[in-house]
Amino acid sequence: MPAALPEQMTALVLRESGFSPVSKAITRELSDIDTHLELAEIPLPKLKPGQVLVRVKYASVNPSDTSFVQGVYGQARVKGMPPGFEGMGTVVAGEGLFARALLGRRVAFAVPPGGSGAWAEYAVTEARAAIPLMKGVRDEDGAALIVNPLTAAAMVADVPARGAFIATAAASQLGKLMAGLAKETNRKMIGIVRRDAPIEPLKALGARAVLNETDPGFDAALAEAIETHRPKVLLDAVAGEVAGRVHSAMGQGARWVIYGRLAIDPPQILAPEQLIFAQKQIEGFWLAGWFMKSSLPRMIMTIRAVQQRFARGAWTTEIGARVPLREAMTRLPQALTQPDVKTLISME
Amino acid sequence: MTIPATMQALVQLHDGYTTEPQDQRLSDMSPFVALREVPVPQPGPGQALIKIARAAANPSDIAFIKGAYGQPRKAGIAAGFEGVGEVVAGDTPLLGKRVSFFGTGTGTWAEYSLTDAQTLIPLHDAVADRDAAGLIVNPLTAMAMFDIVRASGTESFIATAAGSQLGKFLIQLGAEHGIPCIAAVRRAEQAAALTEMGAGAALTITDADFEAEAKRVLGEMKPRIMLDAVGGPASATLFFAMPRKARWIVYGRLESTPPALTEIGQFIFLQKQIEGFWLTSWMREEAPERVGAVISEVQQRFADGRWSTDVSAEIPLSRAMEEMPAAYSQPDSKILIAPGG
Repeated sequence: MPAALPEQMTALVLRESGFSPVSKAITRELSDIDTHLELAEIPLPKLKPGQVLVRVKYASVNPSDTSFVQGVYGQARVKGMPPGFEGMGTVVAGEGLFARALLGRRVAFAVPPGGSGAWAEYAVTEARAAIPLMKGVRDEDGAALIVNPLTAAAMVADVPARGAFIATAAASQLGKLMAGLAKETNRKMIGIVRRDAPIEPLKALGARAVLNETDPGFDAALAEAIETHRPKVLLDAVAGEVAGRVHSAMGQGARWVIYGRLAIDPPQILAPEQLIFAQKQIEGFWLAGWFMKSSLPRMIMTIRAVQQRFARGAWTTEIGARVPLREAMTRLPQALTQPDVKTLISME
Repeated sequence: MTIPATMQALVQLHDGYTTEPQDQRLSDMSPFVALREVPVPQPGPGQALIKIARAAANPSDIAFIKGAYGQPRKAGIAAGFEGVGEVVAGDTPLLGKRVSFFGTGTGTWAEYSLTDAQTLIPLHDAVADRDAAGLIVNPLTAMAMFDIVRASGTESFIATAAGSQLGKFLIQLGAEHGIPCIAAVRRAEQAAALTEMGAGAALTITDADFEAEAKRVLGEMKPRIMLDAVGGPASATLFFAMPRKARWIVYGRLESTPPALTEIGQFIFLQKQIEGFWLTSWMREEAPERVGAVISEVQQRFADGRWSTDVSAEIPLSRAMEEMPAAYSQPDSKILIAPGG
């Protein structure tokens, strides 16, 4: 049995409730952290039946977290609660038979809506959202096992077998995961990036083509890649003007699936007639929505496949910084400006 | 009946598609079609020749002659998708009968038109020519799209450009089935008329407080489907005021300003989506029995007077080049072309 638990814990907590009154991009940065968060000593959260308490080692910082903290994510904030949708650590308490069976296990976990989040020394989750980690999965990979890898797996699985897709912001962690997954599952990824540096690494990971949207020859290269690979799906983290152009250049039946909003300027539907005659569509993807829709066996299978990829080294999470919890208020904003790497909050 | 060797027809001047962006306005016919004396087409196996009484001119016809419709143009062939007339030749037991039809071989903006004999729709006597000329495009689109509304389980739905003939059909279908139509229109007097006709609510997109009013009405009535003939910025405003899981179904593009997607989070967190509807795809993909049943129901509605077509202008074929643009620019126009004139 673990040692007796303390009464209090250190946590980053929300300073605001509800949603932001203004529409903003879903940004991965957090420059005005003092407006939204503070470091506090708060009581250890209480468990309900079926829940476990995790002593957190690493918490992940995803665009979904930074946008939630700023009040532009699809779920209302509660003042005084710790944010943080995912992390890893050790189960130290459980309510109920199944929850207690996890005591002492090293787990990756996702925090359900309204739960006490991962940016704290202790977090609460449902026992079935605590995933025991296989040997060989690094703690750092465990901390980022759920949001990005499951998003990548769920979205790539939605591309027809042997088909092609286009991914924007392809140099991101998620883009890299998708490139490897595409190659493994016999799908063709066309990545769109904003710099030349990630082009060759992404091709090495498995992308068939990688195009720099800032190149003068981008439109011609895009037309050629579309002609060659015939992508049917656009997986879009950016939702900007370029994505609108890409969708209108794609062929019959192309689906534009938006899962993030890194751009501030709204895209336009340049050719509404293509919705009619070319049966094109525009829709969104939200991991939380996917969770609610998917069956438990399908999720377990997907999560197992994700762990196996990390365990055998097919995937790794590139860590930019491990920011200690007590220094997060000062160091997190700077750490989050590094492109294309993952920032972790460390409780040790 | 003797069939002449040549006929008057509005023939297309171009092949294929335009490469320019287009809307559905029409200021001049002459870049796209010309009135010519051409040979009367000869029916081959499986085809029928119809002597046209009336042809319809819909927004889809205008998009087609401009090269902005989903099928390629053929230079030298008459334009016009649908009409009514008498079968005068061909491989069909319907010789001598009055039919509604889709001009699959040559178009209906002519004295004679060629089509697949299988697609002829024999008419009840009670269906007037003015209804029969436009029996297919608007009524079938309304019925097929209303099937989507019903299947979705929504409590209400939005129709844009709701003062159009198609919009009025949708309003009536909504009233009959207890799924009220929220009519979006450009002018306040249309709003009043459509509410009278059975629309559950009306929104005037040119009003100063349109956006606030849209949020209030849509917040109360919770429509999850928008049937959109416009494809413009006001449509986007409506879409972003709709509730969770809303579907924006575009079936026309009356507006040339492209809509901007200002509330991206709604696609992700509210699971909203945008798609299109095209009658041609529906007819290809829907079970033939369902298509047949819908056609019978449409005829029944015209025959018993539940539906009728408000014709805004009837133009002689010989005057169509000159008169069509002005007639077409009238709000909610419903134009017929008459070869006899």
